[in-house]
Amino acid sequence: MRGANHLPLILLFLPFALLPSLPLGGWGAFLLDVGFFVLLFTALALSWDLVARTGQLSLAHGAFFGLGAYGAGLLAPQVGTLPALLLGAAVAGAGALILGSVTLRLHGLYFAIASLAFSEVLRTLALKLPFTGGPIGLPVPPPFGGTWPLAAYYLSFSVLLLATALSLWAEKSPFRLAQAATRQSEAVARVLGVRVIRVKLWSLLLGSWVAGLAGGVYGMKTLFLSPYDAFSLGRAVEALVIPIFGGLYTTLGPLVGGVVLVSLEQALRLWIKEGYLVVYGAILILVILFLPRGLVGILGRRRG
Amino acid sequence: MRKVVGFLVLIAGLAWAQIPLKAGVILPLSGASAVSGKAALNGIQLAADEVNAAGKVRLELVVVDDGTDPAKAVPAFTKLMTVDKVDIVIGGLASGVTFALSGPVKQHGPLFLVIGAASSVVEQAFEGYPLFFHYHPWDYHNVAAALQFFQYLNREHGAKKVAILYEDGPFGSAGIGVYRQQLEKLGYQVQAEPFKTGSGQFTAILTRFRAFAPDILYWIGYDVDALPIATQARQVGLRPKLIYGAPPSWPIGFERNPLSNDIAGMTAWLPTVANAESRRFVDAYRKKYGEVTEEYMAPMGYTIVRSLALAAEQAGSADKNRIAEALAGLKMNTPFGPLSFKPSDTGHTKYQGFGPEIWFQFQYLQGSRRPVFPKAVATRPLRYPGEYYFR
Repeated sequence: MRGANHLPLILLFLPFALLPSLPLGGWGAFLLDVGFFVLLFTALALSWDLVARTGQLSLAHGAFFGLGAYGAGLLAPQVGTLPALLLGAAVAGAGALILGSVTLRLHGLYFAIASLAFSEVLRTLALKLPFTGGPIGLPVPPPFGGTWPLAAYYLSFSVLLLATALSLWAEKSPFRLAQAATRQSEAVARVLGVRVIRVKLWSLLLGSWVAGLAGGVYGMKTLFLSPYDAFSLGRAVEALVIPIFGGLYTTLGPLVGGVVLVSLEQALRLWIKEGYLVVYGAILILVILFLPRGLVGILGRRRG
Repeated sequence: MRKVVGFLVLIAGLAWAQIPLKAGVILPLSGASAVSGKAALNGIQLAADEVNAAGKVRLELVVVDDGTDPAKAVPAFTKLMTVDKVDIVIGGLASGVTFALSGPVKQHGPLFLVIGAASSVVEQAFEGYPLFFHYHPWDYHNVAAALQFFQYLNREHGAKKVAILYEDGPFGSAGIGVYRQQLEKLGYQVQAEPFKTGSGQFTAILTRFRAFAPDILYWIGYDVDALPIATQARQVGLRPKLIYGAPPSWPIGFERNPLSNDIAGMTAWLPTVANAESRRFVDAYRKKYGEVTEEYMAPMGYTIVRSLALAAEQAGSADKNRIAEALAGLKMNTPFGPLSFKPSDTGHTKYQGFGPEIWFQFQYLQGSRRPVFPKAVATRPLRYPGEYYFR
């Protein structure tokens, strides 16, 4: 029964695990690159959903992504790839603690505005601080000195696995109930004994770690970071559009949403070329209008 | 029958003599740099038509959109290399995206003909890559060209104070420290303030500038900032002797707005440039697209394809290494003036096309942009002081 519950997840992950070894001819390298970004942005979306499960609309995920990217990018030449990624995630986590400790008493849109301001402040700092490369940008070394071409892909895969594991833990443990209670009514949750601020802070911390890891891996793939790219609001919007498209407050929703939406964007760009955004936008609108529970709503199973 | 056979043999011979070239084009057709990317693509396609009509080279283009985003550019580039199997790539307009391509380019090893990417960070990223041909001047060339104009204003017109309004993003902030330092070295008093591009709110900064009473209001931002700055400078009663803007592209139709009059800026090309290649390009562009462009990325794209075809002809081969050898020794006239490749000023890259000499200053005068400096290219005298009043 437990295995059957995880079947959709296994079916989602299997093609990505096998992708590097599939005989795809000339398309192989291209699909690996597309797969890299699908995995990475799906992980970012899942990290956003972890926070959204407490009812908080975070626009700080671009900032966590940027903190992780800059943290890892700056540290990688000194400490190596994996420690740099972990330290980058820790920097993002520290950012989440600072943001959370002063703003998590705010609700809904007020928190969203505060998190947006947080992103803007960090972007400005990245532009002004002397060690970030400022507006000129920061070159980042490839993972493991570029000796293993598939390293970035497997790192991206690992980040998504970790995000999924965290999300499944949150979904299957009593933490889910605390998150759901906090989302539905903080006052009632408090009466029920839920330590609302602590639940929100933990959710934000978990989300920021994953977003920071994703940012670190992103920098190692693109080899260059600029404050406007790394701390982009567009990244935060992408992180929230994917769970809405796939299905909010679940593990499967952001996973399905990320795989479908990021792949769809690449495919439309390939086939339609100019004007692909019109089709992409129309599909988004149709899904939001007719599938209010997202793509996983089609399965007819209510989760969360 | 013999005539038919002879004709067929002739056709087959011509086809045989043609050099088949397949080139990938990776440009921002969406995202922040889409205006420049589309202009570049127009120039590239125009040149490809001309090359194919001439018959010596049969050029096939595979165009992909980099979305002005590294996350979209990297897979698009990989597709060009592994699916479309091109050996030659034209592109690299935005610096950040081009930097992100440096890894994949080194991995796949194409002949990379770079249309933009002026940041010298890109120059360092491609150091040692043997097939990197950079056509656009580097950022230090841009600074040199602008400073030459400011030196002239200081010497000939007695300008002494510059108020710099710069956007707080990478484009506006990257060189601001150097600019400030260099202007002070030229004898200017400088007051500089950042702004957020697209905000449309400049009155507070411009009012502070009024107390400084600058001779020159120099703004570094994007096309969306041009009109608000022109309007609000007048609103607050700032009366500089020259408004000088440095956006990557100017707003479409800005010249038709009377507020643009007397505003100056820098570009690498205008349709009014008086050289034979430029005139030929303008005529051909008008014929194909029914309009004239003022985006210098269009003739830049055109120049790259023309030079590629000429190098292929001289090499007599579609082999990327032989074409690169021919390109390295190529000398040709272009809408920007003569083109030849030499090592970059810093020595980081081996093949640099244009330098500071292609930049010139223009002024919006009676509904169009006119070259005003240096004197060798000026078609009108610079209006200094300009009149920046509400009429």
